[in-house]
Amino acid sequence: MIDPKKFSHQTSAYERPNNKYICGRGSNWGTPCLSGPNFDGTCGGAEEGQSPCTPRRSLRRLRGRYSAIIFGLIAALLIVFNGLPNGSVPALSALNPGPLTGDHLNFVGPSSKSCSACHAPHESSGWYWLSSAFVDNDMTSKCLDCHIFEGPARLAHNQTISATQSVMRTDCVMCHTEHKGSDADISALSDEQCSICHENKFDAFDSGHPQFRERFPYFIRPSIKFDHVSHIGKHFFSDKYLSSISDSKLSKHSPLIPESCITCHDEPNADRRVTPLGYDIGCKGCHDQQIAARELVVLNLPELLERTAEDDELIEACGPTIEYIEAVISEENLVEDEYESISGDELDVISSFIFGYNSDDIDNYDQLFRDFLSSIITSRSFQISEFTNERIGNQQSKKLFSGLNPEVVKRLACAWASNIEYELPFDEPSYGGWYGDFTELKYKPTRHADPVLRNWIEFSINAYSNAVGDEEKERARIMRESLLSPKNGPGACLKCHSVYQVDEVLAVNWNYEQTREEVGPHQRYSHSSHPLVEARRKQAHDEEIGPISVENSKPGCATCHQMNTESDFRGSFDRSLREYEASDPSSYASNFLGITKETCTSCHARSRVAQNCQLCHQYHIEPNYKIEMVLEKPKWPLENNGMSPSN
Amino acid sequence: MVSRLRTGFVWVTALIIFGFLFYEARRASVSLESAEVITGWCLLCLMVFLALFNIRKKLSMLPIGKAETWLLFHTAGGVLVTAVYWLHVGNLWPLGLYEQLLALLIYATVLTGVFGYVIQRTYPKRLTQTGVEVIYERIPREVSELRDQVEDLVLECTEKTESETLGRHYVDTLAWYFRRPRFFSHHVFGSQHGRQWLRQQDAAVRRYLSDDEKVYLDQLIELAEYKNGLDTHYVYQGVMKGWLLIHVPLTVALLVTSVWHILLVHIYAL
Repeated sequence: MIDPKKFSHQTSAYERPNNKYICGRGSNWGTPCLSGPNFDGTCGGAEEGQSPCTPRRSLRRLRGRYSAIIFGLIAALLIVFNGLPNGSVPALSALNPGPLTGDHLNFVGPSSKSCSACHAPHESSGWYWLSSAFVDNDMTSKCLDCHIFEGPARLAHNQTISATQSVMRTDCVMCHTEHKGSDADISALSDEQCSICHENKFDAFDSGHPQFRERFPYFIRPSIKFDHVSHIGKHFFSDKYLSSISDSKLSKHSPLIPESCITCHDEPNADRRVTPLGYDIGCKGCHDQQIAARELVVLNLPELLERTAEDDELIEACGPTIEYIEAVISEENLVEDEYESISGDELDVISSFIFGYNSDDIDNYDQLFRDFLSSIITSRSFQISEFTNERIGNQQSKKLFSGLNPEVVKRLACAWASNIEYELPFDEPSYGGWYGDFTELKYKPTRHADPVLRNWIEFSINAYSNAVGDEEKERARIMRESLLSPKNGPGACLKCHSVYQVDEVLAVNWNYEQTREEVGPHQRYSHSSHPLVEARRKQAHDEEIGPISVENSKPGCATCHQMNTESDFRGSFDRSLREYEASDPSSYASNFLGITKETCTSCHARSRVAQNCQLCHQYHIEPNYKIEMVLEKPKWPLENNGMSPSN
Repeated sequence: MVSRLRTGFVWVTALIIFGFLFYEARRASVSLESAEVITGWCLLCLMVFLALFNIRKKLSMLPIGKAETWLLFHTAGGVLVTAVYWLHVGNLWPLGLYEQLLALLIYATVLTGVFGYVIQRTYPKRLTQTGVEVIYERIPREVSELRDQVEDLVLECTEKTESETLGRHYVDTLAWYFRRPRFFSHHVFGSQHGRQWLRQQDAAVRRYLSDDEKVYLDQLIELAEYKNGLDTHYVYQGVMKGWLLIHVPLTVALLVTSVWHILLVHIYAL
């Protein structure tokens, strides 16, 4: 117990712990005076007759002093480090809340001045800077300086969704927040965050996700009409078919049969699509010779009523013919018999359209055709556009008759004007191209994707829609039916290449990727990240297992892509060929059965593989960068924020 | 009983507040709202509330609750601040240098607070065990008076026994001991090194003393034991007062940096 006498007012000192000072003598472990220091820090002991000491600061005083020092120190550090964002030591800047992700850092650079790439600088004055704390920042507009989307950037999913749905306006920073480190995933969203807007709420893909649409994902007919069922079921593995072909043919045919799906499909580079490897790898072996045989007869000498030109005109333009020279030598009477046309054919369908006369309208086309021939043999240039339908024009003619040698045309015209058949001085051209043969001007395709044949096919499928008047439309229709007939001529191209319509204009899908996206813009899928295909590919190196078989590709591609042998695949395209204007790319029967949700839930389910929303869905439509972001290194800050570009 | 109920009530309240904030932050995050704004402002409010404890101690004349109650709120609030800070940041250690400074300050403040709380709970018991009661501010006077008392005793011994053995021993060793509090670091950790040192000094000199001198030595050792208790008081009470020299300035630094952080966030990001 403390001796209470110690606190007697006569013996005890008056302790003032809240005072700013304590006795200096006591601090030095001497005997402190009873009165202690004064409030102003002077010694109170002097009044007691003691030698004065130097009072020390009390603990409370020291706490206050240390707090003031550290306050000043922090303020000074903030001022110093806040002054650093001039590009020197950005990581030390008091404004720097952390490293950017690698992608953003690459664009804006390490300089702190590049902060204004995303943040408004608010640098006009100190007061303005402070007051801007009470004004909302529109960071989305800064994001849109670089990022672009296929739809409205500030609307949910970049889509103008039905007005009946209340979809809130979105800002980028609602989902993407930066300064989380160079490796941070700033685009990750949880399933709960997705379902906050969606009316159809469910816990997980396997338990609540709606069933896929019928025919998923084969909604739009493919650009290339490759019939998997007929090829695999008949041409590759049908005993009936294989026994029907000769042994020599079979020996050539067998090595061409693909070993697996990935013989023709580019699996190593697959992502959403496993694109075909192309004509040269997948088709050329069997179909190349068929292409060369598909000649286009552009012009056929029709029956003419009168001679095209007099002998002297012909001799002057074309030189004497063999028949003329033989007649002169034999001194026979050169008086001409009554004219009888060497051709008894009507005007061919192409000539009928391009010259603008019906095929049997000999009274009208006769003069025009003879003038056309005269023009060829007497003119120095070949200008077919002067005689053709005005809607063909010179530019179209250049495309249609590309590579046509005037020498060939003139010799042909001379023969026809002389009322004789033109005979090739050699066999048919082996390497393709334009040539005359008797009463026909032909084009032999040089190779797959021959540009002249492509031009003629595109010309013919659009001729009908461009035609004016019933007669011209009828001639266009007849020409189109003839040219596009798969049985003869270049129409065979459309046995593989489908026709599509965009903005009332018909076009041919010459390339695989030209069709519209088959599934929704927010869906995504990666073949390469699915292990079935990858595992089978690796197993392909194991001789015991062998590669993915086309006949039985389970558990490879056919795990998901099961063929529908009952579907009328060809019929979908044939129908559209007959009815071009009404060709709906979605009215199509796929070679494959639609993929159902159960196909996915066999792996993507609870306690199995991940099944979060973002695995198969992407929020934005076609996210991309502005072209200037890609082509040139941007100078930050942008000029429109009023700051000068940094180095 | 009432005290325990009150303590339990405060801690349960803190838990409920954290639960509510956790729920609200999660709701905001799922709703694509900024959970950081909610947790950030709550964090600042909590820190300001904790800092008010220091003002409360200075304004003891105002009827604004007992200091004991305030300490309870301060303790529970300190733990709550740590939890809300983690909720706000989302991890234990942020990436930006400035945010790291904030984290350092908050951790340092909390750790010094925990240290203060622990010593406030443990040191008083140890002080009771010393058998000495003394006001911290009076320790210098007590030491001074004790020193005078010991020196008088040694002088008396020298005069009456006519032997300077004890006096010389005092001058050589014990005078150092009575000069001021000793063995600070040993006392901080509860070591009995001071007492052991005294026993060594006692044993070292006792064999050379006469019986009369030994009586004086016993009195001297008794006073030295009391001095050892004073030293313990000086150290423990000093630590119990001195930790605030770190805790309070750290709190000031934390508040300043937090306000700057909020200012930057609202100017550049919100």
